[in-house]
Amino acid sequence: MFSITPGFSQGDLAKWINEDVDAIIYDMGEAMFKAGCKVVDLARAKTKAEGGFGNITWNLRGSIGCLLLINHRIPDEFIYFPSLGKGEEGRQKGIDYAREIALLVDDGDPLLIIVAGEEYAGYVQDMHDYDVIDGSTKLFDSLLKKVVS
Amino acid sequence: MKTAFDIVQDVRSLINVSELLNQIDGQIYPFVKPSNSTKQDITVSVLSANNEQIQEATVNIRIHSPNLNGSLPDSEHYDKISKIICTLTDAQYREFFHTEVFEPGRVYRDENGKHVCLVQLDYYSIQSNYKNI
Repeated sequence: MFSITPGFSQGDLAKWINEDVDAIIYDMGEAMFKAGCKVVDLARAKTKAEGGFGNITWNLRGSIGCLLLINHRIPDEFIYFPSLGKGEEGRQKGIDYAREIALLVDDGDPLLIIVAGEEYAGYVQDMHDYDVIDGSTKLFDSLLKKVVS
Repeated sequence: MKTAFDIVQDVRSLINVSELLNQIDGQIYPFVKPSNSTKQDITVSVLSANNEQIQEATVNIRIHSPNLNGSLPDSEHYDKISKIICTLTDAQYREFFHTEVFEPGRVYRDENGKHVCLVQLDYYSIQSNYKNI
């Protein structure tokens, strides 16, 4: 006869499992964010000759970006609105709009928010067929697969 | 792979029916309407499309109608036509494509004061020759 006494408690087990799950969720969120950054880069790089839009003020291009909401927070490292040197007003609108959306949709799950924050973004897509972010966001699934593989 | 022209043709085939044509005095055009047309036209165009195995596209259907009293949108016409278009295009499963209404009707005023009503669709098609395999 011998007895085995575990050196851990049920609470320890639950804590370790939760830590592992949190780490997996964080890694997945990070992968989503990386794919989102690629979507943003593609959208910003699309020229008018390629079916995108032109640059009068650069505000629309600057307003395209993404952020990741995770654990009810938006860490600075998960905000992607790189400066273009022009269109700073649009860039700030994009960040503000993405933050506003994040507040509205936060349900505790990691959420990637990709926006074109200028109010006329929808107008040029709907009225002129100029692709702002619609086409690039369609590539998100395949970009995410590449990031995680 | 479906080109933008194929996609427009597919969607146009859904709405180019007497139920809709009898309600407009213009025509249904691919991509753009004649710039001098003052009739109740409809245009079907593609905003974007990808080249994945399940090909996705966003289709813009724009309903045109002259302003009332020079400046007011013809809301009654937009309401009637957008409802017909939604009925004809929502949850449509055809042999090679499928459509869903994403935006059931939004009225825009353009830079010239004319109004346009947009119905936006999500379009899906399975590519049988994906990557030419």
